[in-house]
Amino acid sequence: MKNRALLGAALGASAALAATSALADLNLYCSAQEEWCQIMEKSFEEATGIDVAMTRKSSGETFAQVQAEAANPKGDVWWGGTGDPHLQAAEEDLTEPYVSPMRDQLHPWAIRQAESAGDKTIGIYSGALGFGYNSDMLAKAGLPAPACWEDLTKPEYKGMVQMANPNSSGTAYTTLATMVQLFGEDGGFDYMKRLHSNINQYTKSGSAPIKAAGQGETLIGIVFMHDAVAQTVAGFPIVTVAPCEGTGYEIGSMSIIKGARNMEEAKKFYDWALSVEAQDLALQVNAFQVMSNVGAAKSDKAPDLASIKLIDYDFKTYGSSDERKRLLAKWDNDVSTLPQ
Amino acid sequence: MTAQASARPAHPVLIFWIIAGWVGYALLPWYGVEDFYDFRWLADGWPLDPDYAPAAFLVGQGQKLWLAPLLPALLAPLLVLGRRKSDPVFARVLTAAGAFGFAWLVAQGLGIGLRGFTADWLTGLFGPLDDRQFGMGYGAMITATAFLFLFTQGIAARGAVNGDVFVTSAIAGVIAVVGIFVFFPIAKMLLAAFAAEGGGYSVTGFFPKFIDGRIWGLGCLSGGRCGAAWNSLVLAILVGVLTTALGLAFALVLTRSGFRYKRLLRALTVLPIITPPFVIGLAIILLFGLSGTVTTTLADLLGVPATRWIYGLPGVLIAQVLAFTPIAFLVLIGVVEGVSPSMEEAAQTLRASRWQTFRTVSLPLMRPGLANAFLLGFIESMADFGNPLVLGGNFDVLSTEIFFAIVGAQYDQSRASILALVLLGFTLGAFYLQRFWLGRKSYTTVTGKGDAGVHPAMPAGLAVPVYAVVALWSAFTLVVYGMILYGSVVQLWGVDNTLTFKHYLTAFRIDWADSGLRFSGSAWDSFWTTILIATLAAPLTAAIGLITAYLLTRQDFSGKRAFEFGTMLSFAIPGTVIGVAYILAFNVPPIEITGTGLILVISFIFRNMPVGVRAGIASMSQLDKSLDESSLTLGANSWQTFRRVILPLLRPAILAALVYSFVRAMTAISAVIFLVSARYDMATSYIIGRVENNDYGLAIAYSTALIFVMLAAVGALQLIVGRTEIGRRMTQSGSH
Amino acid sequence: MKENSKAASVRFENVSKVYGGKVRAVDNITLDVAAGTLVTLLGPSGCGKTTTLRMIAGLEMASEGRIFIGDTDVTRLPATDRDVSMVFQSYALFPHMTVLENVSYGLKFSGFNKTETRDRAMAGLALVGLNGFDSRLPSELSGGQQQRVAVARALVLEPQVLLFDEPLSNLDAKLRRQVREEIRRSSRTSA
Repeated sequence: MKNRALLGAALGASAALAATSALADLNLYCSAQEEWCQIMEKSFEEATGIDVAMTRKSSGETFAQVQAEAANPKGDVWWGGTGDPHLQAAEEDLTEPYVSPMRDQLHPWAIRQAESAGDKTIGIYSGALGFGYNSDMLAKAGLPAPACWEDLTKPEYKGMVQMANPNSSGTAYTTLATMVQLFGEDGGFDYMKRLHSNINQYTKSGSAPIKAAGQGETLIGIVFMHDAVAQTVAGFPIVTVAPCEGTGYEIGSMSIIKGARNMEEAKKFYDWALSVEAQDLALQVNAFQVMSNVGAAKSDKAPDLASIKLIDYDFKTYGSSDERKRLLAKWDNDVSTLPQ
Repeated sequence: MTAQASARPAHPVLIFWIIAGWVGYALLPWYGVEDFYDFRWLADGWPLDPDYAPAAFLVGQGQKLWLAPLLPALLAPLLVLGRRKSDPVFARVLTAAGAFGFAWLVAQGLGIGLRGFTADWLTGLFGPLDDRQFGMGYGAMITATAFLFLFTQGIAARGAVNGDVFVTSAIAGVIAVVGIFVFFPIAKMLLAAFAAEGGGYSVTGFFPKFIDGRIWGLGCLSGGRCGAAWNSLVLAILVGVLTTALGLAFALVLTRSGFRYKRLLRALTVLPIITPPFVIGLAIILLFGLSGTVTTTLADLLGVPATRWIYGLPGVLIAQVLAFTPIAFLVLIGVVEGVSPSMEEAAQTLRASRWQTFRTVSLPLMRPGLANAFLLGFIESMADFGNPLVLGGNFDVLSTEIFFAIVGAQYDQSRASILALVLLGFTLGAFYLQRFWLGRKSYTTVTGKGDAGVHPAMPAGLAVPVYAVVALWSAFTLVVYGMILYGSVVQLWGVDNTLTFKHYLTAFRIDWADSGLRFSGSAWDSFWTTILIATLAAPLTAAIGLITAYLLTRQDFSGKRAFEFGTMLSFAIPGTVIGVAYILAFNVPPIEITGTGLILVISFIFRNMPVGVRAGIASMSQLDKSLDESSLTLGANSWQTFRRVILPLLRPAILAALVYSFVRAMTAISAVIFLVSARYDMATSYIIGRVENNDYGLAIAYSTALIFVMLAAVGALQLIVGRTEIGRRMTQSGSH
Repeated sequence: MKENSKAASVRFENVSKVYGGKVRAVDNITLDVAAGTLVTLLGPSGCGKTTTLRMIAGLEMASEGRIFIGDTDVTRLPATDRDVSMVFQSYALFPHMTVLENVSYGLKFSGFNKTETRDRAMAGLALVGLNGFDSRLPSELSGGQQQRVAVARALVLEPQVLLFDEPLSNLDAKLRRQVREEIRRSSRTSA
């Protein structure tokens, strides 16, 4: 009988767990860093009184979740994270078109991003690709500081460069697409092959190379520059480099999920997130991206976009799944199989 | 007393389930209410409001008429109440009513969803349906359970499994829950393996992806890189062998030596499983990485340049062996203790030396433990994803490939499914290999005769290497944990070594506010959720695991092998796949539980249940069957036998299952990533978020706090479960 | 163990037991044992004695034929629902229970209250000459003592049928005689 009582207690307690979070007025899927997500949640609640339930996952994870939930969506709005999964979601018709009244306050690159996806997503920040190196290790090894993409293929950095695997990381795919756009397809792949012989490891996650550099596990990591800056701010001896040849960039995006249960609130959040007030919050949480609202403040630690040569990144072409599959297959066959 | 019971047709169990079926059908809300424990529906239009109405009221008002056929299935059992168990009509009616009711419930649940019929052929057959239904609620769940157990009473009365109602019901119950929470989601996921681009299913798309060089390549034999499948296989075999050997070494020191500080050693052996993911990986990098303490020291001493040797097979192997040895140990300790001392004593009196006794008697009798420990190590290594992620370097394994096929830049779920199939294939292989190795021998060592022998000490030739290995590995574990502890109290691990408690303060701050205590630290929410979920999941996991083990070792029924493999399935698949599969399966009716805490508890139960099963099987195969049988002939039924005879003799296995499931619920990450929600965030997903954000100090401080909580919990569990005294003499060393 | 009217007859009608469709352990047995009588099955090892006993107890189900205890057809009844006790070749004493707990075990499921259970168990122990051993664990007894506990455990239930599977095989000559006497005596008092 004691067992029955125990079982009853367990059942009762598990019943308590069956409560869903559907009671909130807005379900936010957030793919930026934890602090940023939290401050967005709290500030929106303060600004509007709308109760927000926020779940933070990486952009790839959120995409997988939105895809799996398509038949019965649980999220309303998806904020943050690199643009590719947002574009992919738009392509698979998982997100809802919306033209915000705030759109005319945005940088042209953010608007272009929205137009290329049939208004199903919009840019909220951008971050340029680059690399960072560990200054302590560089000094110890007595090596010159790299300044250009071409420097990374020099033999003195053999086994000292780390980047993510483009098959698993959006950052690394951006790198691949950037090289193709910067040097042409043949030149780009030729560069990737030469770079390949200096690579010590293709990591799975996009920001892992610069974390490894921070811990002294690799000299150079190819990442988005704001990730490298974040390492420096966290106290690691990392120097961020904007490559001299010019570079590509990502557009962190936001989308409304198709079939959202709280469409009104989702649109309110969407408009609010594009405002100066919301975008200035980035500075409070050490997010060093460039925000999409023209009037948003810039951090003095952030990489100065004016001094970076940005290429005219073609999100429509390189964000499409066909082109991505083609480039990844080519990289798999022509680059990753080469001996190092 | 049993004689009277069968003379008079009183069927208390039957009556109970008939009532349950009616309560579910006619009293409780049929569909899910927003908040499960919120009883506002009682005052809010129940029983007539369609949102809260019981099925009977819905049908009575002419709605959801597809629920009407359940009515005759509920009426029929009432007719046989007056009949005897041995009456064929009794069996036939219950079987038919239960089977029909359950099948109809499942069919209507799967067939009619949020947007009417869920499949085109149903619309084709019946025309479009202008109605919809939501996820099952209390009513539907209870009625379904009632039908299931009416059915089992029917087939038991017909003579299934010796006519034993408890065993028949237990089998059906375990099959039902494993079917719903393991097979169903995995099947949904694997279907994607055959998904063609742009919808539909095809077999032709499958093969090119299956024979991909990145899966099966053998380039490493000629200086290149091998496919993920071979890497995983080699790694898993190594991990399986090494963890089993280490686990055995620890178990031997604890049971067959005069070692003094056994409690300490025991605590040390379980330390790694109570460690949240990534922490061991980070510690190993700080020790053996390119700039790691050990690597740089050795490089300076030997005058060679430091290398990145740890990244790849060596690193993953070290981390996994560290992490999974405790599991092997937990399985083995029960078995090693269980080997009958008299048999060892008998061997010694037959002129076998200590070493010969060990080799020819003790070791072979430990085979079920060794086989199960190896199997668990193998599968854990296959499914592990955190360690290869941190330490894998360019050594690709299936689990990480699967994860990034789902969440990476490819968005290729079908590739993930194919990789998952390969992984499942390996697991199946390992499973059958261990069956084959165990063969049909008997490993029973606890017979019904009192056994007062003493385990002989290890032979000297064995004791020396065993001591050496245990000492080395313990020292290594201590160093790793020393580093972790240190890492939680410095400003920035590896860079700024100023001592500070700020990480603990950020995570676990408690303030005095006007309203009393305020847990203002950022970690408290996820901390309490994690504790609650782990506390709920652990006993349920152990219960289901041990009942399953009991069925597998003690009962004979057709389809037993398939049943056994089915229970291993959810364990063999990487958590990330399970996570996505659970969303696919449980985000839509009939069972809609995403975003709840329940889905976390359920995912933990079915992911960790196999350890309970393996530990239970290993221990139960040592108990002589005549113990159960004599209990049965003494008038106890199967449940009472299980409760009073088997369970008390299984305490080590129970402890292993409880500890493991509690701890895994607190430290698992992979499935959790997809199942956490705003309201139910887990400690591990919080920690990963911190690591991604470079807050190593906070992540490690939180992990350290969790380690201490789990240590306390393990200690408490040990106290609660206790030891079973069966009166063997104390070993010569005077320990227990 | 005074007057016991519960003893019942055992009747086999063309009973066979086939294992795995091939091995025929018991082939077409028909037998009738009157209530209260003491019957011994003799035969070379492997001839099906244990299987026959296990079919009476309900531990094995007959493949063919019918089994009656008293007037009840028990062919399909599980062991727990038959009023049969069995003393196992291996004794099958529960190693984690004391002698008293072992002997009380079946009484607990027979609807006796606590004091009655204890009294009957103590009486059973006295019957096999084990007064004062009640708080020992089985492993603390000699072989013959363990066997007597097993016998007491079955006897106290006063079952309709009492089965012994090679009850004396493990005893020395003197003990064997002693226990055999006890069984005979209890069978007489039971009948």
